Amino acid sequence: MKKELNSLKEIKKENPFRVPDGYMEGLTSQIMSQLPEKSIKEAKQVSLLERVRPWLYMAGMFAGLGLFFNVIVGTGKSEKEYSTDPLLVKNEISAETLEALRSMENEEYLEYIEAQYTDYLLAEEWIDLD
Amino acid sequence: MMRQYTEDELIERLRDPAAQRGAFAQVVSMYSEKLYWHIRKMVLNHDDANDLLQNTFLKAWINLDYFRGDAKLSAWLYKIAINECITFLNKQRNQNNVSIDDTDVFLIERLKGDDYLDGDEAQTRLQQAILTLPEKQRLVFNMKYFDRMKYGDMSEILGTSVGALKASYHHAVKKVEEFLTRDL
Repeated sequence: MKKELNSLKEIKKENPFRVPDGYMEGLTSQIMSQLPEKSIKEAKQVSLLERVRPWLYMAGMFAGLGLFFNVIVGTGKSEKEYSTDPLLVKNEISAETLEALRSMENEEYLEYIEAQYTDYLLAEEWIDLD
Repeated sequence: MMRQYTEDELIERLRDPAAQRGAFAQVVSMYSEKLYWHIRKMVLNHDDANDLLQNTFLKAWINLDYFRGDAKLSAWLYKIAINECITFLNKQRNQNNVSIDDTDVFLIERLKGDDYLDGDEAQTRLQQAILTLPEKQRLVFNMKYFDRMKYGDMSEILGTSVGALKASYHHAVKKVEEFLTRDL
């Protein structure tokens, strides 16, 4: 058998395939019957509490952190707070007290220097008298 | 009788959960036959084509929310169908130990034993000639020669430029004619 066909044009443009009888007629319903049902998602009602819940959590977290630092590190209390709160115990030296202590120390030191100087002058005079 | 919607109306209805299933039934009715023949020419066997068509519409249904509507509905469905065919053929090649560059001999054997092949000897030989083409050229040839699809539509489906598609079809026709004029 030699060169029976020379080009595509010599072949009838027909579909050589066929399908079982009635296949195309029932195709849409066959395909649709195999598809799963989709659940329709309803818009969820969000309550006020649910809306503010993240903010409440955040506020709680900051409050907890603040309490933690307050207990561990501690904060300076004013004189007024100590005087009004009977449960608070003042455990630090006030600035006035420190100032008073410092001035007292200075006075003692000056007295000491003065005494030393007086002793020195007296000693000088004793030497001159001798 | 059910009202036939335009493509834009259909896309709108496909986005409405209440109307979605009805609209999809119309999509299936519009494209199932065309897609069946496209798949059938790629995989040849009726049962395989039927399974792949079912998978195509199942995937389209499941992924309907991802269809943005900026492409044609038909192009989107063709893309899914082509991907299904390529995945199926690759699996078949693996099972038959056929390299991707080799002719799909297993498909030629399948063609010979197909109970639902009616054509005369010339048409059977044409199908054999088409099977010698690389996969992409076979797709282009089937879409242009049998489905008479426009190059612009083919370009949208295959993601290839019109120029490249024209060249591909030209090469495919040449190869098919070479096969047909070969001594039998």
